[in-house]
Amino acid sequence: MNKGLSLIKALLIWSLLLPVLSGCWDVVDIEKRELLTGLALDLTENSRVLLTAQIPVPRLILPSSEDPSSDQNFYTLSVQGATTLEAFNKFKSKTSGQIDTIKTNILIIGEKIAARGVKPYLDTIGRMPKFPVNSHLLLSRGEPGSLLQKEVASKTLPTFYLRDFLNLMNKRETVHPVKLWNFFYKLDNSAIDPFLPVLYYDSGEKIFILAGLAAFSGDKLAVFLTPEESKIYGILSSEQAEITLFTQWQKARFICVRYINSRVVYEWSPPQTIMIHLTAAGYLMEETGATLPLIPDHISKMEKALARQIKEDAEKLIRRLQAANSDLIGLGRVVRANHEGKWTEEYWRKLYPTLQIEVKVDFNLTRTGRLN
Amino acid sequence: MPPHTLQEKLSALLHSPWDLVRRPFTIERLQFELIYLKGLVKEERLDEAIIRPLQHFLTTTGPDSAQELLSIAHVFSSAFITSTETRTIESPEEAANLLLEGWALLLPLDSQFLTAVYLPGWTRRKPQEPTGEKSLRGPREGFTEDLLDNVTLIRRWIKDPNLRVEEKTIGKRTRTKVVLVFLADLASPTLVTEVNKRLDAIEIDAVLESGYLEELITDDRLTVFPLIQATERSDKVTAALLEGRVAILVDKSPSALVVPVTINELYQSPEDYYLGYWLGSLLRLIRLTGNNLAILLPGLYVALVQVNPELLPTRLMINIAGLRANVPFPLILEVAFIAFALEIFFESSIRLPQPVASVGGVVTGIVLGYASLQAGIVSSPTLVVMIVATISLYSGPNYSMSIAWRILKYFLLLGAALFGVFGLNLFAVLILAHTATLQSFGVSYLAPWAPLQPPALADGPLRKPLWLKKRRFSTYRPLDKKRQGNTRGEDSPALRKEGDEDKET
Amino acid sequence: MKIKKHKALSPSLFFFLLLVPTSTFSFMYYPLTGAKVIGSDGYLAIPVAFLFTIPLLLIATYFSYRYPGLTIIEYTPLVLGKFLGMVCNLLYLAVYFMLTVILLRDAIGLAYSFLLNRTPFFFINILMVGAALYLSYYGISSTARLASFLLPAIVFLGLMIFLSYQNWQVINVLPLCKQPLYTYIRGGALSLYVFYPLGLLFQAAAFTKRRKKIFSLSLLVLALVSGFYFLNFLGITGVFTAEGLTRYLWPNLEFVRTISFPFALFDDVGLILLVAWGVLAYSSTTILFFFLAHGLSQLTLKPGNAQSVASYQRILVVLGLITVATIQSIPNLDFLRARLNLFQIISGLILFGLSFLLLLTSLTRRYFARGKNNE
Repeated sequence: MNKGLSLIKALLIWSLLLPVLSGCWDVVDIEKRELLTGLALDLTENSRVLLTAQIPVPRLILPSSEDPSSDQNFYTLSVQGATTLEAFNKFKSKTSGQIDTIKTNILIIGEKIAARGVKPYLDTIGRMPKFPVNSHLLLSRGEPGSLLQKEVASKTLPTFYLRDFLNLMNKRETVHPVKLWNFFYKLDNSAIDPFLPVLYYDSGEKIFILAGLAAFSGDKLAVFLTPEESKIYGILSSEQAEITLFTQWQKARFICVRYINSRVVYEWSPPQTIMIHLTAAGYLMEETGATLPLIPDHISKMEKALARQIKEDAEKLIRRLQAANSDLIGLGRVVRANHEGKWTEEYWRKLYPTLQIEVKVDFNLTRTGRLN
Repeated sequence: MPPHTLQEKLSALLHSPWDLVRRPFTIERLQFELIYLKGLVKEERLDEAIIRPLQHFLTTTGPDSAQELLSIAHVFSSAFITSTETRTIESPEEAANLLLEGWALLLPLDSQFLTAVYLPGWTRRKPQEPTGEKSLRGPREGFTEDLLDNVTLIRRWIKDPNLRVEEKTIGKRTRTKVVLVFLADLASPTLVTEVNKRLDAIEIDAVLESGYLEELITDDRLTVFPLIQATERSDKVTAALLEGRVAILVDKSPSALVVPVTINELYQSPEDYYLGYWLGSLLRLIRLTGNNLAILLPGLYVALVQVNPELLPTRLMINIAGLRANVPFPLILEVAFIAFALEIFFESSIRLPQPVASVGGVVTGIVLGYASLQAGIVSSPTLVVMIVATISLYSGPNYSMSIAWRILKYFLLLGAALFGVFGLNLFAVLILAHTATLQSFGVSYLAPWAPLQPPALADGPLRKPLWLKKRRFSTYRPLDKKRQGNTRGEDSPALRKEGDEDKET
Repeated sequence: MKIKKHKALSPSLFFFLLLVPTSTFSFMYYPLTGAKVIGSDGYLAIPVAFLFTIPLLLIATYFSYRYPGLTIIEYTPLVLGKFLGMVCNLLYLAVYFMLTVILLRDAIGLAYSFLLNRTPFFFINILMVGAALYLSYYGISSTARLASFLLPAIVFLGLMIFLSYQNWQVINVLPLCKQPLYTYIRGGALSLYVFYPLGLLFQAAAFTKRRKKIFSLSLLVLALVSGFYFLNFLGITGVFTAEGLTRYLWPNLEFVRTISFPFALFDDVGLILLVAWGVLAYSSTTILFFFLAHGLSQLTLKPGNAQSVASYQRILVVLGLITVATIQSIPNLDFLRARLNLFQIISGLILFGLSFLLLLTSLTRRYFARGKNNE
């Protein structure tokens, strides 16, 4: 018995050599990987999926790059297929290295796909285990593939430019970043609808511009919000901070308020009324009639003017979203939180456009400077 | 004709070696012979310790009385030699052994006994700071090759009558003296018995260094981890004795062995306790971090770059890819090449002659490193990683531990090269699993982490303040757990009296 | 041949021996059950499951006093008779064999999906099983020492969960307690599998000498794991909502992957969680293998031979081969998950059924034995 055990032990030890004798299947040298740092999804005219990828050239990105003659430190590839996966698999035949989506920071979706419904096209990407869940999603009104071919004035890799832009906290006023996991969370959730920031390119100044939002209803594009509307959305959702507003508080007198932060409380009165209590605060930065001294009474008038404007804009935005059946703010979650019985998406889709939604705003100017 | 006198028997045993001195002399018509080995005995003392006292004794006693006294063996030597240790020997084998150990033999002619006189005179090195265990603060007295000097060093620390020094002789031909040192009221009797048992079980021709004993009495002979602590520092050994551990000192070896040991102990240095607990804690953390870096960095680098780059920051990944674009070898070969080159350089640097050493450093570091980068044989990230890892390996105070990690580093590198982070992880856990099976004289090697011993754990990665270490840790199962009483510091609230603040100006 | 005995475990080793498998076993996917059965307040399934598990600990403690130094494999035949005892023992061991297979399949599946896409599944299977066999070969105290050393990994798991609250919204965890009571009880009962590794207490209790600490330590493990899992589940629901988390095979991993520190050292922190969990899974597998092999070896031994070391080592290798083969035969994780409910119910019936059966039979026999003595 002991001999048998020794034999088994010996066999086990020798079997440890197996990994050494075998191939290293997952070993790929880093310089042989083709990183898709940006990916664009679009539909061709005959409804085939068009994937465009931006691939950096590492040796040209290095600070000590010895090839200054080369203008572009990246190149793009495009493939087509009946489905996203079929198209994606065609990348392999177009590169010498291994295709990797491990660092895909930017995913741009075309308007055509958004209008049709993103779920069938995005689902594959969501299921790729190595696809980063924190990659940023954007929407393009034109051809998303062409955006990936654009250069930026600072010569940074365009996808890095966008990623850094979206990651920086102090850009929050103009930017509402949406990450892949967040987008899926809203897609799967029947009580809130997703949105995507809209991406443009300024060919004159060679920069990317993120302006406005594309609001979805379910997984289909519903309506576009202007940059001003997206600011109001930011205040309403209280996800965004440091918003700037410009409003008239007296005849021919305007104020500019910055760093607006808000807190929202919802009050649901069944069957169909929601009261949104919005408490906002901001710093008074500028007053156009600055030659006249400010007194405390002026401040309260300014606050009322701001509250009035936010209320009007918010209610206008909400009505627009209701008309498009896009629950961007997530009022469905408020209703579900108080809902007795089984919650269904159908029920919510029918209820949402008919809701009476009122916004009550309380604005507080926390920094005003010296007053008389 | 077979030898029949003690002298003849002794001559037959010794076979007249070149360094043997035989000095016959006569005092008061009585003949004697002084026999000793030239290099072992202090010849200057022979006259003052033996000849003159003997002469004085014989002159005052008279030859006839002296002749009578000669027959009373145990009286003879004690009657006139008082300045050093003496023994009266009747056996020629015992006499030969003592001669070989540095005793001088005084044989009265045709006597059946002789007097052995201890007069050691071989060259002894002065205690110096051990080269492999340097410290910023603390004593610079390391052990030497002389056993007596080493025991004396410990005695100068511990003036406790409970300090036991038990002698053994191991090695058929070398008859090396080995002493066990421990505090009888601290060290667990089971531990002492076990150490004695293992030492007594040794059957060997020669013991040239304490390392021989270390290999023969260790709990697990196949492991790379040191299960016995070897140190040249007297303060380390003293501290160990005060924890209830046992020290083994070997003649002709400056390395003392201390048992039992835990992995935690091997990362501690006495200067942690001399420098204050903030600095001591910082140094310990640096040591641990450095060691972990040394062990894991090469494997992690290979795993992250070659197999799982998704864990790397994007820009770092692209930078590394750019820097490796022109390197013709796969990463693992590059790493192996630099690792072996550094191993060879480190080994050679120990043996480089002094005049060549500084030039060698320049050639190796600057010329070779720079040249290999320019040639595109290696890439700069790999060079940086491997150099940091290799230097960090020696941040730990114990050389044996550094060697163990030096070997295991390649094992981890293999796991990382084959299976990336998963492989590195698995192989690291295998090493951890292996250490979990290790014991050192009944103490778990992973203590105080496993089994969890919170009081001792507080003194693990950080250094516990002395005023908090009131009781000895149970790791080594000491008999007396009390270490200190309640010494209150000057900043203790209890010592502050009311009104003291008012008195301050 | 001198039979070596297992060393008795200290309280801290015993604690970690139970903590590591319990906190690791279903960590990656357990929220799926509560979310599917209950909904947005699915996290309430955990406190319910906590309450349901306490009787199991009490019964195990009772038997540790009734039959000190004996494992369940040894005292079941004493209580139920030889034949029924053997059947019950085999069922008990079968539950833990399935637990081991499920845990390993998950660990291997995770490694395969996220870290090693091209390495043949068979290789990863052999690596993990072989590595676990290596340590369990050396006995319970080495296994427990490894588990004890992995406390930082558990703390790391907790830290990652805490950091994942970055994107938490309270509205996603509402409504609270709006479902009928039956739903919560059902959700809790179906989530009981989370605490099945605690059933090892029936065997582990024989290895510790401090009987008085058995219940308190096991209850502490149960309480810690319940608290941790409750906060974890609450976090996942607050980030993904109950509907959202059901899209994922491993919701907890996706939860941690949402952590975003753009300028930190590692981009995808979730994969580091995977590595930390993998280490714990390895240790848990080691513990399960040990108890399985030990239990199998005791099936034919007389009671009181619990401490024999050599007998279980022989079975270990065979057990490893059977485990590898079983894991290879599972086509994909979906196959397992689809049958998870069935496994939960059957295992629950066996574990709880067996323990209650043992308790009742033991009490009845004692009652009648006392009656006879009085006569």
